[in-house]
Amino acid sequence: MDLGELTNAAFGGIAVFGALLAAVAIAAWRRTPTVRMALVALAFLLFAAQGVVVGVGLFTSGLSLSDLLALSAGFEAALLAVMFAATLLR
Amino acid sequence: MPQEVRRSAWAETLLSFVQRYPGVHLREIRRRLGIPLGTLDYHLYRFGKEGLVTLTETAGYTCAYPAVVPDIGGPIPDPDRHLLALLRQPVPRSILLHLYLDGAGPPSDLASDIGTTAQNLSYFLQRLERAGVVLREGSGATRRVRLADPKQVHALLLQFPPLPDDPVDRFLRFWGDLHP
Repeated sequence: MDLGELTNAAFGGIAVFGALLAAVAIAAWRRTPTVRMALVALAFLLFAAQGVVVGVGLFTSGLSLSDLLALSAGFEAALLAVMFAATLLR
Repeated sequence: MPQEVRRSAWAETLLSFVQRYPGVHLREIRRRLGIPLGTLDYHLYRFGKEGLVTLTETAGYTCAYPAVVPDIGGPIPDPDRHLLALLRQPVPRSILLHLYLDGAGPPSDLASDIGTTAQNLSYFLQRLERAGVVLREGSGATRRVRLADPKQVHALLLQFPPLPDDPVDRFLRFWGDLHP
């Protein structure tokens, strides 16, 4: 497996596991509708979106590597902010 | 799969679930087994006619109990049914387990220990008090809550296993435990 295929698999994994955890988080939020659980669900949705957007962008669009890196960093910064709020804010 | 085969599979699953977890309420059965409402009603009606399962309105929920528990050699006594039904509900179960493990304590500590609001705790404590399961003693700063009969809770916890956590329950507990 070359580096391109590995990268593809890694972003596929992020999208799939992010979506699975987002589904569990949404089910948890429906059972206990708190702001914390909504934030956790949002964070996992961001993971899934990052996997899809960056993964697809890497292989099909005309975006440069630096654009994709910025996009990926944007997703990560957003989901870290959401995770921070979900775990530390009362 | 032919409908009759599917129905008998549901019947077997449902009956063994009720025998294993007596006092479970119907909405929880549907949620845990993913059984369609019509199928659940049909089988519970049939089990009732055959004397296998009884349904009782307990603590605001319709709960299912096996008509005969082999270890007891008969039906579960009424006071135990009531307590079992409460032990199948998340917040009452948390309250009862906390009082059983840690003993009597002030209601304000209880709310933070089990991770619920004071209003929610008050609502469930009233229900548990009306059922005669918990007692409130004292007033003001010396107010405490305790189990009316810890031995009964102990016996039921040993005899009947709690409902297993599903992934969503585990997920909720994990994020709930992160509360600073």
